This record gives sequence, C-alpha cells and structure tokens, in this order.
Amino acid sequence: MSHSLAYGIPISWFLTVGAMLFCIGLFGMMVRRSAIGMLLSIELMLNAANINLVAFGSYLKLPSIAGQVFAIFVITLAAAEAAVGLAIVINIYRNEQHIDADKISVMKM
Amino acid sequence: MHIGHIILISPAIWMAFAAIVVLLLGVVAAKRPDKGLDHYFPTQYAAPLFTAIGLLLSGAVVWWSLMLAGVTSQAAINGEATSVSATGLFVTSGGHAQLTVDPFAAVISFIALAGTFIVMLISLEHFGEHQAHKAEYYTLLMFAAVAASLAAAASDLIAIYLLIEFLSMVSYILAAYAKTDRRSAEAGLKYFLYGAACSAIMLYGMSLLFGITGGNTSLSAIAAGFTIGGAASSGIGWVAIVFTLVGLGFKLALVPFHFWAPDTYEGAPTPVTAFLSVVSKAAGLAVIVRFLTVVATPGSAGTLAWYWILVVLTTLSMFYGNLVAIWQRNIKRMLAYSSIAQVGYIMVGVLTAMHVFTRSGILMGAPDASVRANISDKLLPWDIQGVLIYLLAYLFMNLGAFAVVIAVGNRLGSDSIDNYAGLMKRSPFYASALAVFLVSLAGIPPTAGFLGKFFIFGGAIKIGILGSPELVVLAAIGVVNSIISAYYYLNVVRLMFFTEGECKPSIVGSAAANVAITISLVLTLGLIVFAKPVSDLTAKAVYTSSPASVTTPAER
Repeated sequence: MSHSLAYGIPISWFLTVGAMLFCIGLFGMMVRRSAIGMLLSIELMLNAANINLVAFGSYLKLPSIAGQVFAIFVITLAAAEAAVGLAIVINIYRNEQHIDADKISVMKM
Repeated sequence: MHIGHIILISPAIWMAFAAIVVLLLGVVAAKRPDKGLDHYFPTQYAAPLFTAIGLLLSGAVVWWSLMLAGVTSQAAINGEATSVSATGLFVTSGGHAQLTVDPFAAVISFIALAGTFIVMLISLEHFGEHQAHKAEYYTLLMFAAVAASLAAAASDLIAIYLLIEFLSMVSYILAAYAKTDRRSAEAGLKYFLYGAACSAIMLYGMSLLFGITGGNTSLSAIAAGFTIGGAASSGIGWVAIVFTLVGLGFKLALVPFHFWAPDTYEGAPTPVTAFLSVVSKAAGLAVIVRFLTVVATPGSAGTLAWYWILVVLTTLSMFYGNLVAIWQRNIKRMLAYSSIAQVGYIMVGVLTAMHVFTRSGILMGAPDASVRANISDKLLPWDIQGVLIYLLAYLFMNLGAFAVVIAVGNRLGSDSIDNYAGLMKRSPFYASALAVFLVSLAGIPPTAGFLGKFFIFGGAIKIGILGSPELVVLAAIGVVNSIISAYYYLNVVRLMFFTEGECKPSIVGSAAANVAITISLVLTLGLIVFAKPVSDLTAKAVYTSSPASVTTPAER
C-alpha cells in the first residue's frame, strides 16, 4: 500500500509548506527588530523542520518512527529554547528598558 | 549493551550527577550563608574537585577505549566478524549507535573536561568568594562539560542536534550570567539570537538529510544512503549539507558565522569567554570531523561544491581573524578575533583529514585492519592527528592566556591592552607566562602551538602534494597568517617587557589563578618535550576510531 495514495496528497506538498514556513521564518529573522519577533521567527523555522521530519517519517515507509521521534525532541527543545530566550530578553529589558536588537550595542566594534 | 559501555560514558554520567550535587549544595548553603555546610565544604571548591574526579575517569576512558579499539582491530585481523562494535554504545531500537565512544571521542572528551577544570580555577579568581548564584554557575559549567564530552561521541543526527543544543543553551545562560552588567546581558542576547537562528537552519538541513537518505538518522546509514541515487551531488543534498554546516560553523565561529563572537567574548564574564573559545569549539570540531568524514563520499571531496565552500571559509577565517585582531585595543576582543583565526588553522587539519578518507577510499576505522595498517604506514607521522594535537595545544595556551588576562584584569579593573605596558616590573610571573602563551599562539618554537601547526600544515602539505593543490595553498596561507598574527601577539609581549608603565604596586593573583597558569604553562612548554608519545597516542586514537562506520551485529 502506498502512503501517498492513502493520503491522496503527494509528499512534495508538505515539503513545500515546510520550505515556505522556513523562508518566512528566515525573512522574519532578518527584518524583525524586536527580540521577541526574532524569537517567533526562530519558532517558525523549527516548525518548518518538524513538518519535513514528520512528512518524511510517514511517507518513506520506514521500519522505525525516527522522524516523528526527532520532531518530538525538537518540540521539547523549542520550548526550552523559548524559556531561555525569554529570560535573556527580560534581562535585556531590565537593563535597557527596550528590546530593540538593533539599538543594543554597548560595546564598540 | 554491555557494562563496559557504561564505563565508556562514565565521565559524563559522573559530571551530571556531580552537577546536581553542586546545585543541592547551593540550596543548602543558601539557608545558612555564614556557617553550616557552605563553611566547611564551599560550593566553589566542590565543583573543581568533582571535575577533577571526572577528569581522572576521562583519562581512564581514553586508555580503556584505546584498549578496546586494539582488541577489535586485532579481531578484525584474525578475520572475526566483530566489526568495530566494541566501541559502539547505546544501541537503540533502530539498531544503530547513538553515541560512539571511540578513542577520538575519548580524547576530545578529555580535552573538554580538562578545559572545564581550568575554567573553574580561573572562575574562582574572577568571581572571588562572594559570588552571587555561585552554585548555579558551577552547575551550568558542569552540565556544559557533560554536553561537550557527549557531543564528541554523537554519531546520530538526533544525538548531534540534542547535544549541540544542550551545549548552546547552557552557554547562552552562562554568557548572560552577570545579569546586572549591561555588556553581559547584550552578550547573552546576541549569542542567543545568532545561535538559535543557526541551529534552526542546521535542523532544517538535517531534516532534508534525513529525507534524502531514505529516513536514516544514524551517520553510518546516512553515509550509505548518500552514495545511492546521486543524493550527494543533487541540489537538495547540497542544500542539506550546507545548511547543516551553518549550525556547526556557528559553534566554531567560522567566518561568516562569527558575528556573535567579538561582542559575546568581550561582554561575557571572562571565564565564560575562555570556556566558549576552547571547550565549546572542541565539541563543535569533533562533531564537524565526524560529520564531514561521513558525508564526504569516497573519492569525491574535490568534486563537491560545498567542499570548496569550506576551503574558502577556512581561508577567510584565517585572514579575517588575524587582520581584524591587529586593530583591537581590548585584549579579550583581540583573543576573540585571534580564536577565529585559530579555528581556521584547525579547519585546515579537518579538510586534510577529509581528504585522507576520500583518497584512500576508506572511512576512519574501516574494519579491514590490513588496509588501515597499510595506510597508516604511508601517512604517519604527519596526518590527521594534527587536529587533536592542535586542540590539546590550543586548550592550554588559550586558557593560560585567559587566566593571566583575568588575574591582571581583576587587579587593574580593565582589559585594555595599554594597561599591559611595563607588566614585567609589576609581575614577572604573569608577564613571562603571558609571553609564553602568546608566543605559543603565534606558533613559534619551542612551544605547543608550534607542534600543533607543524602537524597540521605538515599534514596538509603531505596530503596536498598527492594531488590536491588547494591543501598546499591552505597550508601556505596558514603560514602567512601565523606571521601576521605574530605581529599583534608579540606587540603585547613588547609592551609588557620593553615599555615603561605606571609603577603601581605589584600584581599578585589568587592561588587558584596561579595554579591554572602554572598547569597551562607546564603543558604549553612540555607538550613538545613529549611530542613523540603525544603523536603516538593521537595517531593511535585517530586510526582506531570509527566515526562513520560503526555497525552492530543487530544492524546487519
């Protein structure tokens, strides 16, 4: 039985959604100035990778569920990363009273 | 799984356990700040003590893994089909090794723990007795050591991603540790934003790699899947590898993923800077060596576009690091830029190693021991062990330099290079120690840095003349860069010895700093005396290692 027939949707659709999400995240990372906005963009990029992993995991007819397991690890890590990231951003806000990543440059080049 | 396999990761298990003990010590001590447990067994001394025990364990593991590797290669010679499974560890349900504690990983893990130990000694000097949140600080350092020592053994995409992220996340917190200091907060934010973005890109690359190799996470299976169906040369394979290298390049601060490095190095507390520049880079290098030897399919290195990208990045790192370091007035910032160049030198060794595997048509630790013995005869003594030797040398000379910078900076309250004028009069020990470390970083004999460069550039030339001229060119660029770097390193030496500074009272650091400096000094000068045993040991470690080809009977 072919999974692609069972679902009726070719895997390339999933990969395209993943690629678009990744590009949106990368674009957001570059144009966003607020540290929180950049954090959100990073989450988009991580989830793009998750879509890829789960899509490959279910379409490749694998003997294992490595792709899904990898995605669950990534979700867990993304939560930890958000916690660490927000703590760092809050600390920046306490020191600077803003979180504009462009204006934070105490040190001279 | 076998009890011997648990012993192989015992340093990491011990460090994780000890880190929790240190955290609990801190909780208990906080209840009675003046007397009680913290008075008799202070947290800041417990942490280095536990790390020293971990270091001893790690030394035992180096010896043990060399012995195991010897046994398996002997078995292979006798025609027994054990493959190299004796050094594979933690067989998962998929039947492949998540971690491969081969001698290569054991040596890198030893370097990581030794680095953490010295960083703890200089932390004692930097923060003093009444450090805020000291238990948390030392716990984080110990967890970082756990992550670094396991990352060296990771041989599976999931393990690589988890351990690199583990190390990164602990490092973000450590960089922002002095939270009321605006510079430290900024260092943490910049490190975090660049790091999280690079690791997300790396993860996307890994997800593609997972897909195009038929849904494998184990590096050895990816190596096999990569050669099928032209995945290695396809566009998507190219994207997968380049994206994955972005995350690893970030850990190494390779140009152009270095933007975080100068600000983070300057802003973070100096012991954390020392940690980031040595331990975290050693872990990143171990992963990149393992990864490159896997995805470089035999005979193909020179034909792959991303191989040439790495050649260009290595060249750029060397030139950029050195040329910008010349203009720095802050010694921490100077060491940051110089460490970008130092990684460039090590990458020359990594590319050489890649060529050895692709040229000989075998991956490290191929079960056919007669092939391996044949190859080792041809390539010894200048070979891929240059990476290990350089890392050992870099560990001691760079941490030594940071130890002196902390001891002097703490007394002067500034890290400006101008303050080093006339240091010889104020502290002959610190001035001469720093001079040795800087001379070693410049690669001038008779220091450890010279030994490392000798092996790396010598190996590159030896492999390069067999038909890869770019390696010879890289070695030449490396030598030119060593000369450029001598300018700014020796400029500090000139300031210390030959100029008059302020005649303030002499500088005396704490005992911990002096111990750290003495250890680094002895080993920076001593490594060359023991060049032969060090070379033999690292050669054995490299030839008996099996980054790519660990297979277990279950997998077959």
